[in-house]
Amino acid sequence: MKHPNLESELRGLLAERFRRDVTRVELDADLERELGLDSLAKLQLLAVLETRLGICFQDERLA
Amino acid sequence: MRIGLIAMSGVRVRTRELAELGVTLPGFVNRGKVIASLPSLGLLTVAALTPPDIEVAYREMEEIKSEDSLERFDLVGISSFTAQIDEAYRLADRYRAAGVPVVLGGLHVSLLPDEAGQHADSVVLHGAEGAWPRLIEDFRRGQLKPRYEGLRAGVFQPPNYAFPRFDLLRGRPYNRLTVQTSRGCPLNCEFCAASIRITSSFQQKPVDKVVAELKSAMAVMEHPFFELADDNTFINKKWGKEFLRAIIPLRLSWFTETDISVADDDELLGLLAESGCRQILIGLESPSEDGLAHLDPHDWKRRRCGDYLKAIEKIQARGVTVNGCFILGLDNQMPEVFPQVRDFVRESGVLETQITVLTPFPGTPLYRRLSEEGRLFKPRYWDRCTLFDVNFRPKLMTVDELESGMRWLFGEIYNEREYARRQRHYMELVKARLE
Repeated sequence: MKHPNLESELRGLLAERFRRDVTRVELDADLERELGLDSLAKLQLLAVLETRLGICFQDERLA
Repeated sequence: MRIGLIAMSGVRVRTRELAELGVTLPGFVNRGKVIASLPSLGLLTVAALTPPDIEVAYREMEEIKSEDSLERFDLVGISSFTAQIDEAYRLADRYRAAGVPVVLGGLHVSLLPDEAGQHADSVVLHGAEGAWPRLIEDFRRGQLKPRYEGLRAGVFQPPNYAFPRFDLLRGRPYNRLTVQTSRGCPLNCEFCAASIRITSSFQQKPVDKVVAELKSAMAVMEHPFFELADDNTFINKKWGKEFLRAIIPLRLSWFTETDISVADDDELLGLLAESGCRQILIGLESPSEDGLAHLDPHDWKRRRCGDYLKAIEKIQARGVTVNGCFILGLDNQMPEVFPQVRDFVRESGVLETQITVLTPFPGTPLYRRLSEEGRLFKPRYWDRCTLFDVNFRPKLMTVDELESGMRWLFGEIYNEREYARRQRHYMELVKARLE
């Protein structure tokens, strides 16, 4: 499955669910250092991505 | 005049083996050797109680380590937990040898003032509120008394209340800040060595004061993570909802300790999630009713044990994770408790779990009982009050069974595979709410 608007969707997601200003954030930004997301917020982000994009991250990659 | 306030924050795992097993307290910020490193809210409160014409410097013990020189102060105040109290006494002795008067305070000092008094010019018992202003007045007059008793009640009411000096933390490398909303806990568990030991009853801070403190702390650091320095934040559900509604606009990320009854109230759970609560730490203590007998005077935890699994599921389904805490070595636990805890952690899906060994801290009912029963290895073992060292003879298992069982359980729970399993469980709960 292709997601042509993945970048804008990701930015929208971060702004909406995690209340972060992402307008000036680079694509390779560190979620923890630059956006202040803790490990739990990152898990929530992965869960939302799995749902919205219909994908499944490997459990071994989560820890 | 210049006063140095020196904090001994953090408790450390004493053995490399446990550190390597990834022991984590409270879990998701600092895995590894340093279990917890938070600024001393007590000393920030002492600073607030100091008259404005006196300069106050906040220091961590790590900054004073040099044996060659001591930073010059006119008066030094030191606060420490039990596990590091001997280190605090050594530092106090060094300052006194250099001619600088020393005041000791904090929980341990409040419970053992005679011991602490041997290393200090003065000791402060209970809260600094009601004691520190008098102490400073006396010090200015050159009439410092050996002991000052602070308040055990009314500490959040004027004129006693003091707004902590969060500004003293500016530029310091903490990743978490603490704010206190209450002191004490009505559950009164036998082992508890928290603020309940220095209060006469449960005390709750008015919501507007908590919000003002949070805002003040937020000005010190970008994206601060808050840890409420409470024993049990949501005893009063009405206050809890008022508090949560008030902090929603602040967009915080925060953590606190409470009990399983938060799951009884759907509105409270919704507000918890909406307010940015990331995790609540709940003292489950033992996975079965038998192990929980006589832990608190009303057997409240034993009666609620049957609700544990459902309550954890309900809380985590809201997006708020649970750090489930278990104590090993309770009087009614047998060696079977180790696999029982592992199975409970797996079944419940708690994202984080904290496993500690029963620790008779000085001044607790547990310490007195075990002492009377002749079960303490020795009367004084404060450097071993790490929560991972066995200092007493367990009732239904041997010391070796307790120590080896704890290590086995750490290996079973604190590994990447199990953590990934718990993360996956949590992600599925989040996804279920999205669908």
